[in-house]
Amino acid sequence: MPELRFDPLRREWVAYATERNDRTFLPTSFCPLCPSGEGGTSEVPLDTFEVVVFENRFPAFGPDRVHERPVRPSSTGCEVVVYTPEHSLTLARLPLDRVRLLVDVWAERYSDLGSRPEVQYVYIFENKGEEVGVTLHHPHGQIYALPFVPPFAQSELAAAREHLESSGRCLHCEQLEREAAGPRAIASTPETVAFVPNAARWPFEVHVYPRRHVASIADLDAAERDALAEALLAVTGAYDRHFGFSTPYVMALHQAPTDGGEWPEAHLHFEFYPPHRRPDRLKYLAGVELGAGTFVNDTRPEDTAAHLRRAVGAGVAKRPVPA
Amino acid sequence: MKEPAQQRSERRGAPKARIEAVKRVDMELADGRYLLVYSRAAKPGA
Repeated sequence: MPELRFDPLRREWVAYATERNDRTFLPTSFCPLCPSGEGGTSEVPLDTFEVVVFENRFPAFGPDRVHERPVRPSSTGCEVVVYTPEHSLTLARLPLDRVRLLVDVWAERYSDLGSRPEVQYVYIFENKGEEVGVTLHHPHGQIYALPFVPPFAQSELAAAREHLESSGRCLHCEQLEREAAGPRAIASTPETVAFVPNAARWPFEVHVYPRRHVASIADLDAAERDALAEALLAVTGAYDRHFGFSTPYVMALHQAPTDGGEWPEAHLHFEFYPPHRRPDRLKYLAGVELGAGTFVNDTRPEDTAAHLRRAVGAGVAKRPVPA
Repeated sequence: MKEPAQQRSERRGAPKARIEAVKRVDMELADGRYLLVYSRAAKPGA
């Protein structure tokens, strides 16, 4: 049964989920996420579907447990979001209307899970590729409904709140204005901006923002959701075109906690961390990253942004021209 | 008491119609876990 322990030195929670050590690992003859028809043995006993969400059979968090103190109330949960019944597709190759539906599903799950009294943060993410540790190749993402605000979100929110209180402005909005037309931009529309951040940890790290200051994905209007779906396809497609293969990445959504508080400093955005620094080389987290918490990046964000900008442009050029 | 996230989003201006455009069917797997099936709801008049 999952358990949380708190480290007072690092001031962080660590999740223990020993059942996960035996979870399904890269099966070759059977996919648990493919539709298996009524009475089937996969996780999706349906003939077909558009998008499904189910409770993870091997959750990293929740349900409630009591162990050594301090243990937070943690009746939370982990969900799997299956993007399509097509086993061999990826987010980058989904049709636009499916990605648009995904945006709505993410928004609905944020609102639904976030309404649970014990859930303080709805963390939506995708691990893609064996290089980042996936155990199933079928296109899917995950959602962790957490009983605490995780450290990266906490530090980002703290910095944004401090800036808001001292300047009256959103730190993210200021960054967007600077990046939208700068040397690190890779795609800009009236609704969204995608760029390699000035201090990117990963060589091809990209952040995707709605331009409007919205705290969560549930706050986006229809046009913004349309634009977000297009931006996600642009970024993931650019990765594949640049590297020449279906590019692994971690995709993470950062947004407002759901602890019942007001978070005026929160600004929804997606962060992508591909592990490749070249098509034939991976960026590993090693001594300085893991032991000191400082990233060393072998590339300049302006250079990787230029590569990705060209790859986005190549994707746009391939689209059919409307009659 | 915690304000539901959806209610809070709507108070901040998010239009509820966006979520109503998605159809969700709730099912249960053999071991009791839930399975939520999402599809695009038909547009009125379509």
